[in-house]
Amino acid sequence: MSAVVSDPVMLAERSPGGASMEQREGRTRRIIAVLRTHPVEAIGLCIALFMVLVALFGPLVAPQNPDDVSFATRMLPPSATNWFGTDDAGRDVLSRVLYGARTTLSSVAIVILIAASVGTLVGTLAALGGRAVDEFLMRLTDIGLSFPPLVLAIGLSAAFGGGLTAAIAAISLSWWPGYARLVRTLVADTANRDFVENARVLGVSRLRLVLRHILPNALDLLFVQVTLDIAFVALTLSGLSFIGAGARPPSPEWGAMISEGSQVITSAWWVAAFPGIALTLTAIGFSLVGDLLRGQLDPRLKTMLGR
Amino acid sequence: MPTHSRGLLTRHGLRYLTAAISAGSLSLGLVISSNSLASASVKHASPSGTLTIATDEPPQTFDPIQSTNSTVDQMNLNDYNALVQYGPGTNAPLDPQLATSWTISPSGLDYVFTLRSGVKFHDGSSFTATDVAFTFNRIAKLGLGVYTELGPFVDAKVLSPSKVELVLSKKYSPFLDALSRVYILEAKLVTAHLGTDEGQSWLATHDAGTGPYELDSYVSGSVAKFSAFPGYWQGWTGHHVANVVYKFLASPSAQQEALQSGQANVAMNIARTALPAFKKNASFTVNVSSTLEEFYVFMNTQYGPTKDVLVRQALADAYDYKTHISSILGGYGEEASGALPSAMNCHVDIKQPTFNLTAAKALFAKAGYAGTTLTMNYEPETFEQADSFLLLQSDLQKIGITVKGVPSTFPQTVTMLKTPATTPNLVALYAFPVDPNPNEVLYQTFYSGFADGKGYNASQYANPAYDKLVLAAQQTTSTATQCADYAKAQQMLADQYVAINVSNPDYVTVLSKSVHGYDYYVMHTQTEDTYNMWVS
Amino acid sequence: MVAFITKRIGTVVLSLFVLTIVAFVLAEVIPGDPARTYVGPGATAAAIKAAEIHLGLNRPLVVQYWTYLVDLLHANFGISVFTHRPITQDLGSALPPSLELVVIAMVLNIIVGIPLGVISAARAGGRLDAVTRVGAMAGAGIPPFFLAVMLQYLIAFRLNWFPLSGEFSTTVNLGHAITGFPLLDALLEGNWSVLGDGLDHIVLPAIALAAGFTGVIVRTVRSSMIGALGEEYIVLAYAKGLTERTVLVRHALRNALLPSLTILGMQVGWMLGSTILVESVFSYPGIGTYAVNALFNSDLWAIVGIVLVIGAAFIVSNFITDIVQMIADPAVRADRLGRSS
Repeated sequence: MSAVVSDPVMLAERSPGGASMEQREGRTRRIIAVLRTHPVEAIGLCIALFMVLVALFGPLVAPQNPDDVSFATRMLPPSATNWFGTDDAGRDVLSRVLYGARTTLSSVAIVILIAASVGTLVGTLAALGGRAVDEFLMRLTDIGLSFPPLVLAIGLSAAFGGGLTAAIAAISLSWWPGYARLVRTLVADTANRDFVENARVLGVSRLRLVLRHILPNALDLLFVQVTLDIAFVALTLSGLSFIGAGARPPSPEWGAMISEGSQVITSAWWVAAFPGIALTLTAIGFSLVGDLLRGQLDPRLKTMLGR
Repeated sequence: MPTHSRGLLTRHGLRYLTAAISAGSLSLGLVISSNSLASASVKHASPSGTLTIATDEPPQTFDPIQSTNSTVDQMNLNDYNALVQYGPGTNAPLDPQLATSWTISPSGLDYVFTLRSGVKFHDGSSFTATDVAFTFNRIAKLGLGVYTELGPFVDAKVLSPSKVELVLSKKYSPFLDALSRVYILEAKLVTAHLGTDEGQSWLATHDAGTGPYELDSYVSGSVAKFSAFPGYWQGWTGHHVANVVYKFLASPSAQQEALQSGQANVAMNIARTALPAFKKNASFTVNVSSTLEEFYVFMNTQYGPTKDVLVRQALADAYDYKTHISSILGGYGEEASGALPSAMNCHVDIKQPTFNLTAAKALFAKAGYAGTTLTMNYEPETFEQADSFLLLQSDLQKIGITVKGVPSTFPQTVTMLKTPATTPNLVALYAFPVDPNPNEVLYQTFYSGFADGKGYNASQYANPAYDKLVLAAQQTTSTATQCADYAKAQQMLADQYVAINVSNPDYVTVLSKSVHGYDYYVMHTQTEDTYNMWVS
Repeated sequence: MVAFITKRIGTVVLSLFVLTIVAFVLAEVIPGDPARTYVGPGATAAAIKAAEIHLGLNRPLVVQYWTYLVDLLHANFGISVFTHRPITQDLGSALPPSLELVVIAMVLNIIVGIPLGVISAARAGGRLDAVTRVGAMAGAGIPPFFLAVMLQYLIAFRLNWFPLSGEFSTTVNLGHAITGFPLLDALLEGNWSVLGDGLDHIVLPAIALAAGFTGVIVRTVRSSMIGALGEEYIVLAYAKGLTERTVLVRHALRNALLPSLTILGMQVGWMLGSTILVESVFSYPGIGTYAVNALFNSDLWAIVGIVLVIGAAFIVSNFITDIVQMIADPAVRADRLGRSS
């Protein structure tokens, strides 16, 4: 997992609570300006948005049912009837790639949701729960961070019996420590600031404090991490399916499709190529978006990256 | 140089001529005498070239006790011999190998084998009856692997260095055929490495045999190398290869790539769709051979919707047999005719169900299972199984039946077969008979004693009337009686729709034109008779 | 400082310990019947029972765990239920080729990644920079297993530039094993043809493995360089009349290199894990292929062994990188020691 930032000084420059209307309008203008000056990242954003659209609506526009088997028309090259050709069982590759977007991206979303939620919970508890709780939870997190995520996910997935659900659970379990560490830092540093102290003196409850004042500040940095993680998680998830520890055939998951396609690549390169390209584009798109966000959200970090 | 040596009849010429004639006669004499020596002892000739075989699965072990596993058998055929052995090709007879002759007592309980003399193990020790007795007693002691083939075997006794007796507790007519899978170990060598598991750990990576090739090296999951054993009892006259190399490549594409680039000269698992190109290519031979194999979709007769014979009949009617042969097998194979593979002894033509989705739907409704969901187990790496699942799932979907796929590896399947409740409704599985005796399929696959994970009875079929038939057939030596029993057994399986009998697939091997002597080893599925192959 | 290092060592030991617990729990939970897998189908009930006893499966869990831990300390990872061989033996033969693959991939990573990063930074904003950045993005975004499949198909099969699979050609004679590392042994013995053959086979797997990491390195070097180039001492260096190359390499790079070296250090551990995604495509007989086969065969103790070995390597290499970074970079030192955890 790539590190975003853990520098408290930078945090001092940010404002509590939400943004006002004028701030939001100005923000839109700024976004457009930023996109103009960063054409590569802008393309990345387009790709990422496109992939999300495909995940949401792909199945509606898919020309065929991804499970429609037709052995008479197997391994046909790309043509007018099958834009991406057919696979070893005569299924339309384009339709499978479109459905696969939903499978892959929704699984990625679930993983990140679980990992971020668990991580946020742990991190917040650690930051606000006192010295002992902090030590214990952070020690746990450090240990979690010291394990290689891919290998751990493979082992866990095998332990859970394999399959897509097992893979999702496994990767989530490997991923939450990164979020825990990040959130703890953000929360701990925000919690030390004056306005929080003031609020506490005024009698605002701990929970309200966390929910209304502390977390919202952490959210956008968390969001940057999430965006960067989408690419990593997608690659890990499809990697698990590729080696057989994740989604299994005939599920139209991109990693599983690449694996099936590699078996027949000498006769039908398209079966592996198209899901692979889709996966690559997804990873690149979201990475670029993550880079862009990271560059924009942190002025100091921006200087370091030389934009 | 002397200037006056013109032609052979000069003084120098004569000297040379004499020398040449003497040398020639001397060598001729040597050749003749060495040949006559050789006929009495080991022949010396020179095998040459390397056979590089691309195959999909690495062996689980090199211990021949697991020779019923075809990946192990594939290795064992190189470095071991059995008492009796089949040659390659269909209808191959059972020939003497390490045994030269045998007698069976009238009671059918005692088999006495006279053993071949002059046979050496790879480390130079001589082969005797002690080695045979040790091998058999070890199998009985461990109770696994090839043990299931030996039936009522109880004891092996050394009668003399060249005579050994195998004792059974009951008559068992399939016994002799099964001996083709019992590879003889060197007693002294294995005893020295018994460890805590009767030598299984040691034999997993070592060679203790008398076979034509010795195991040189094995890189786990990648490459196995064998080289010719100079002292092999059968000798090396004629054409043979000096080295046999197995490359384990799971992907058919990888095998194709290896074959086309010359990195392999035999490929065992080329995809059917790639065959037309190889057929047109003059540098390759495509060998298509019928087999003893049969592909089934077994139906759980003891649990779930398939317990009802109407449901089983419906499923048998819902299978598109013709498409399976034409599109999945690419025409390389035939529709099955009953549960016994057509090439086996005592086969009778059984009327197979025809593909009729309307009839199937009606039967599901009649049984009260319209719109139900079924689970089907298959191995995703085996194309015929994976495609058969897709075919059945797609066709059943048309009549409102959902089939949920359970892709699993063979070890996982074995675990699932432990009880009827954990066995899926449908199990895609092959029968790989080790010899043409109908016992191999009708007993080993459908006898009730092999249900509940004790064997391959994936239908969990338990019918006392059926059991009686197959047990009786084992007890008699009369072929006519056997075949009568087996005919009734085949009909019973058909009447009760115990399995969907899908196909008798052909085996397709693609070889480089430089490889000769290949004939598919029907009695040893998915292996090669490397000793009789050679490379030009 | 000493206290910090001691604390870190403590965490490492604790992590390793927890790793063994996780591994053991995995082995217990992974579905499959080890005794049955061990004996194969069709074994008698007695044989299955014997296997259970032989594998120690009938003892209480805590005893099993304790024996397991003690065994681990003796480098005994148990018996593979699938191959019937000691897993240590299998791992021992699978690990060296993977380590060599990682070394070669790292070499590629360094010789391609760092120069590209430097040049890209020097020409920041220009055409070359854009191309390099897109290339780095592509490299980091393409799944390693997909790249492996494509490289094998296009480069090995279609173009025939490199061999398709394996570690060596079947015809080479490997000579004696001195260290157990095939390429190293060939080098030590002066066996140039074997070395050449081995390198020939390792190129495509190494590229597939390194690509993603190289993408990251290019971007890291680039951003550190840009940061360094913006500093005052750079202006001073130019004012002194130094050439661009001197400025880049001797001044900017030296300061920018440290974060990159840290990342490189961490990448070693990641790379070893990533071999699982790449090796099987090339049937390269390392720990990656071993892991994929173990998964396929439900060889649970082997899976556990792999998790342990790669996990331990990951933990240790990160620890070493951390310490090296601490020693070498005063800023990090201050930062780390100033914080509470």
